[in-house]
Amino acid sequence: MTRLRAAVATALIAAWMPAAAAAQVRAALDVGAGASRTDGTLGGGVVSFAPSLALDAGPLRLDAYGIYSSASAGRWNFEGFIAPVLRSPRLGPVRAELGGEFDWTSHRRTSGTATALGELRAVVEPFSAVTLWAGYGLGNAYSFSQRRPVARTRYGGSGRVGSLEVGLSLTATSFDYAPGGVFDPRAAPTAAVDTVRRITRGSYTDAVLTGRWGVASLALDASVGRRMSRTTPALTIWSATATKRITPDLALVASAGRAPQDPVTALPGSRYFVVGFRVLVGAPSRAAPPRSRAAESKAGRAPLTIGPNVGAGREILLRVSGAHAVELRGDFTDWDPVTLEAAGDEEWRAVLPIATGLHRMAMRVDGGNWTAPPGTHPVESEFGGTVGEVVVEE
Amino acid sequence: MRIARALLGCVLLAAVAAPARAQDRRLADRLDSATAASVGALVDSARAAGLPTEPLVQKALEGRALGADGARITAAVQALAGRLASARDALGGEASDAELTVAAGAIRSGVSVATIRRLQSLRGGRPLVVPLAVLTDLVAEGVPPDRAGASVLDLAREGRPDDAYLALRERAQSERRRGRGPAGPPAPTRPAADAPTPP
Repeated sequence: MTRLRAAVATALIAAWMPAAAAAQVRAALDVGAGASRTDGTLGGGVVSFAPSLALDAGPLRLDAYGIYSSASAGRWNFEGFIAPVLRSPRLGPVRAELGGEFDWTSHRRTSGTATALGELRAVVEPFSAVTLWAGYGLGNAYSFSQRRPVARTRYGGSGRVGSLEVGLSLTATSFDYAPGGVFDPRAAPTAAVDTVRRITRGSYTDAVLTGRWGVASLALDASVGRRMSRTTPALTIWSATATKRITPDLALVASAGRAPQDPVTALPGSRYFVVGFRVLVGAPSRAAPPRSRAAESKAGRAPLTIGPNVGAGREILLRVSGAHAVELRGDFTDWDPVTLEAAGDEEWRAVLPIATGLHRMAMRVDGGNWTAPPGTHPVESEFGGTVGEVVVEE
Repeated sequence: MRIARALLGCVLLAAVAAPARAQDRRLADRLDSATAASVGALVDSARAAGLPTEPLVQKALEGRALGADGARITAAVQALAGRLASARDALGGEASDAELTVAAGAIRSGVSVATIRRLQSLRGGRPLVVPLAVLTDLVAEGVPPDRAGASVLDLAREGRPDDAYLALRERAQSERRRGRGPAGPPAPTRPAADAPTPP
């Protein structure tokens, strides 16, 4: 039996080694200071140190971070978080993910908390810039010497509109706890025992809208959401973070927000404002094995396609949904607007003289504002506004 | 014979002057006279230095389309001319206009001239548009320029074909998309939660 276990372990390590060798690791250390007010307290100054790590090795991704905060009157708090995810191969636009989330806290003169969850997810990428997912997870939380069974259902989606990335998620969480007592689910199988031990089921749903906008060295992240519940107080959640890269390895970070309480572990919510620096550490990406362009095109229709030169020019195809009119202008039209013709199935086309090289362009939908077309890299123009850049390679 | 040479000279002069006049007309039609003159002078200087001039004209037209004033347009054209000159210094006089424009874009993104020069050396005369485009795109994806440069130089050193560069870019883009997924990257931009309070 021992030999069998050793063989299995050896096989797993051998299978892991090629992926580990090609692993991409990124790490960062955030150091900041600001103000924080925990719910029900007066609040005060706070200093935080937050190392984080993201590792990607083939089908495995691992995200981890820790936050150590030192507050007034000698108070300190620590949060740790690890989330490994195992991704299945893609089956068309669909893949499965098996994920785990482990987080724990420590505090001065108070016992900490811990939560462990496993989750199975289905992830769909119907288009190249859109991701949808649904997941169900089970686990346990530990707080005040209680084990609290937790179940969580999540739905979400994210996509990109020009230079803006947006996401929406719905997370429904339910958990059992015994206020003021020790809860043992193995000893509480009936409603009668539940009554005697005052077992309570709590539940809440968080709906959160997120957005990320980045141009050049500046990135803005924001989220706003609402917690809905019959058993815990409803509240509005929000956060806003601005990151300005100063050098390739150093960024200035400012963040403010309303962090929600965690009803499962009874960790309180807070309002905060922190300004600090982020030091980035990471290895460069290694090239993946070459893939054919045909395989790439099967993965999904690109939002922007520029075809080969056929004498009269190149066919440019833009995927824009729900538009009645699409115009394009760029350094291949002398920056004169050109109206694209509908090519069916949310595609718009034109044949334009586009030379090999770097090009800048902007699009307008239904007479609205000019913006970077999907599929281009949005950059801030020297003249104000955003344009898209693309390199025509052949 | 002398008359034939004179006629040929006139024809060549007309052929060379015609595009220049066309560019001047686009500038004169869109820009005020002072800006058109200053941009025209920059275009003439670039032409004399053997640099591509069409990107400079297009930069001016972009500024006009976006409503910029003459001073900003002239400054942007001058900056682009400087980047094109740096690109030409790195790649030499044999570089194509496409390679020069992409290299100028890479320089603007933060890629060093030394990296571009090294890339050209490692490519051994093969076209540079794809590696330079991937390098620029990696930086646009958020990869620090020195690391993006190291990755691309690794491929060049190994003599990999263009598909390998495209695969590298695809991987970086895929990572960015995955980052928006449900597991998401950690974002420890807030203080740690305070001690739990009894329910």
